[in-house]
Amino acid sequence: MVAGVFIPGLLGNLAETPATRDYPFAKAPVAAGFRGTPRMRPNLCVGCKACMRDCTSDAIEILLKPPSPSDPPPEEGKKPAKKFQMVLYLDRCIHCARCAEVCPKDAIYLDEEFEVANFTRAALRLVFE
Amino acid sequence: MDDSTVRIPIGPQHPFLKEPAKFDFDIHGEEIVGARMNIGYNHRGIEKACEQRNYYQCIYLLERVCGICSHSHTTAFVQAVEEIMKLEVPRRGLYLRTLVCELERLHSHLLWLGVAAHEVGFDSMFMLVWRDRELVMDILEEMSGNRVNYAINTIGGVRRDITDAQHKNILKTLGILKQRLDYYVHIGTSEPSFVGRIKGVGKLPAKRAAEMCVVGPFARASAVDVDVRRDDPYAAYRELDFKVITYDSCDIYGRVIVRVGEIVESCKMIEQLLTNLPEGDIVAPKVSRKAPAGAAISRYEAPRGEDVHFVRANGTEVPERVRVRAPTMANLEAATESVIGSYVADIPIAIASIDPCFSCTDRMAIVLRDRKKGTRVTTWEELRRYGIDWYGKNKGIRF
Amino acid sequence: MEVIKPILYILIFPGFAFQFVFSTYLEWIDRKLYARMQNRRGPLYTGYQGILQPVADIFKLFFKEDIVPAGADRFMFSLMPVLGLAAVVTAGLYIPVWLFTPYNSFEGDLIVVLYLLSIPTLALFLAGWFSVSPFSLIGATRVLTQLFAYEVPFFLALLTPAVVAGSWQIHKISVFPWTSGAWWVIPIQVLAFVVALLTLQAKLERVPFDTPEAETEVVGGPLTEYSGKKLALFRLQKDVLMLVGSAFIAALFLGGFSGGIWLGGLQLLVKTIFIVFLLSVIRAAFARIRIDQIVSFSWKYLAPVSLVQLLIVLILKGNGVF
Repeated sequence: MVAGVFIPGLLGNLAETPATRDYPFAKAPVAAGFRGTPRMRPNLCVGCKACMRDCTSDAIEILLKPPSPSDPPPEEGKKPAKKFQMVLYLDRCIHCARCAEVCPKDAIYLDEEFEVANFTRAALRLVFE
Repeated sequence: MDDSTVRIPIGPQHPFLKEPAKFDFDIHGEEIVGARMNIGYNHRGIEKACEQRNYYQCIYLLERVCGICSHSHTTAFVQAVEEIMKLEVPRRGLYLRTLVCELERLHSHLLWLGVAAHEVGFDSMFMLVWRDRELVMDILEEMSGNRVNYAINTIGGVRRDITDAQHKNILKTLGILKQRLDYYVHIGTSEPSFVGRIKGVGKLPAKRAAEMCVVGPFARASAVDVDVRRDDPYAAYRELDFKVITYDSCDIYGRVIVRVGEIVESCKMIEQLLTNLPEGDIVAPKVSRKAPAGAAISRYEAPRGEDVHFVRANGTEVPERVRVRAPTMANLEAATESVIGSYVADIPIAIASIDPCFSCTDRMAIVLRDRKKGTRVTTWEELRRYGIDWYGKNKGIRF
Repeated sequence: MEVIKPILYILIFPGFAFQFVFSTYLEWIDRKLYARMQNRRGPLYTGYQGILQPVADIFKLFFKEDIVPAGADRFMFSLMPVLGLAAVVTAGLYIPVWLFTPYNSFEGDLIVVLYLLSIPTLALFLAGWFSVSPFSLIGATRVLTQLFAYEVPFFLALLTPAVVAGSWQIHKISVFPWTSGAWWVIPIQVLAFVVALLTLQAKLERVPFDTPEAETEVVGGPLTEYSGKKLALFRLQKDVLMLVGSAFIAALFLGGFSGGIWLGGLQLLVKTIFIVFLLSVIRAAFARIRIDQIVSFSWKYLAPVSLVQLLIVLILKGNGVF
């Protein structure tokens, strides 16, 4: 066994570019399909609450959106269409993507946003309506 | 214990421990003459939490038992549930599940190699091994959407398929990794300051290892030939051709050799899986949300050893009991015993050589009967009732 | 007026201010080289490419809470960092660059410097002894055991250039290759140079001789209970010791820093940085060896090699070769 067998490799590393990225001063790339923050398209939601039922950490609430004057008027003889809103508690979400998987209308998708730290709890309560 | 014996507490917080655990060592100067350990600092009530969540929620909850062997816990759980439901997973699903199993073994062993180097002060090797571990993490991120906690399992199969680009990328990365691994093996076995710290240290004789029922690479380095992948095949392991690496030096050097050998075997297994990947579905069709009444035990070879899950179902959507026995639980007593007789300087590397994961380990143990005195201590039902009553009375929480 | 000059020497050059600036600069070089060898970047944001990081670390410690353990002897606990730092800064006054006054250059100052350099080790031991914590105790005993291991080869290795030059004055030893015209005495002392480098690494308690302060084993060794200003002084002591040790090895083995302030200063910079480069390579390339392995390595290899070197030099000197 020769001592110092690591030295040539180490000295060679002096000539190479460092392998560390300059995060957070440079953007950290994520792979396609990365499971980031869940987002919802409210016009697709039918209020089945499958996402609420299957969320591991109770991070989703599906609420009926109260009717507002800017809604289009209902058709003749029909009740006004129900609209739903999703409240997502980002501090409880574990980003498992079960909500996106189980939604029958593909209303939930996960984007690439992972830098979700914030100073106030309230800022981590996202509402999609 | 005479006057010259000093008792030093290591833990619950200590720079060498990645997770809290308490060790008490009696030392004479630099030599260790007694050792005791205590765990429970990482208990989070996961088994209880599983009793209130449906099977799908349980999968993603059990993932968070451990960050490094997260896939082990979900796969073991899902296998037990699939056994209760008598569900057949399509072959492609099994292959993809096994692929992630082996990729996880790769990243876990590389992590361990870096940590072992760090415990003996060999920081350069630590940094360079972790730089190469990033290659594996990038593959896993592409495949599953996250670097740890892959969430790729679901009841009846896997959730994501693998694209051709990912396929090629994995094979290319494995080529680079194998080259770098040869270099690290060369350094690790021929640098005298490193070898001097790990050879002959933390010895656990083969007979004692078999007596204490240790598992995983810790056992295989003491010539105990156990590997769940070969002895009790699950997932796609029946169709794979691989060697079980054992070594008979019974010390930390052996554990390094076994783990590095397993990395090489895992690379070969991944190549086999990718070449023979069958076509078809990745998840079984029509999986019921309720499991019929029944119970199943599922064993899995996690990077640290044999992981055992027990699931009891009662016909509803929610499991009645989930029990997790992590591999570190089996290895910890033996590891504490193996340091007796060596030096204080050997404590970090000897405990780290079992690849401890105290997050996995801390589940509750119930003592039903005091064997010597024959008196009954408490039963599971009584304990549960006591807990529910206490919370109702003192905190106003109704379960 | 005459009393002002020594005070300026002690406070500005070659005393405290000069050593503070230069030693933190050397620590920056060491950290950058160590990081680059591991394919990382090292300090980056404080100052240009992180050059102010060591200064920032010391200043940050000054603002932290300073706790004295309940059972510790308050006076001795607080005295140790000051004692160690004072000893190394005093040793640094004897670096033979430009200012050759009776205050810092006289026959026999090599012996004074060697004794002054033993004091920080003693201060470290006493620091560990007086903080009543089991980790500090283990660390303190390791400091002393390591002292017994490396001190003899260190002294023998530094004795060799003194024998070659036939003088105990550091300035005379350092310019001997030039004044006597026998420049080839530098290469023949290579064994002593290597031994001096390794024992300096042991004195500085850096990997591979890191056991007194092994972070993964004894938390912080003798320094476990130190925090705030006292820890800042210990860190500064370690930096200045690296500067002083490297400068002396460069002076004794690499031909000194002669030539006035500009040429001498340049030589000081280049040669000391070269020694620090070698120390960084040693730090990056090895694992931490145990205390029993350090003792056996020192007595089995370092001491005999330095004796052999001394023998070579004595034979050559006796035959009047130089």
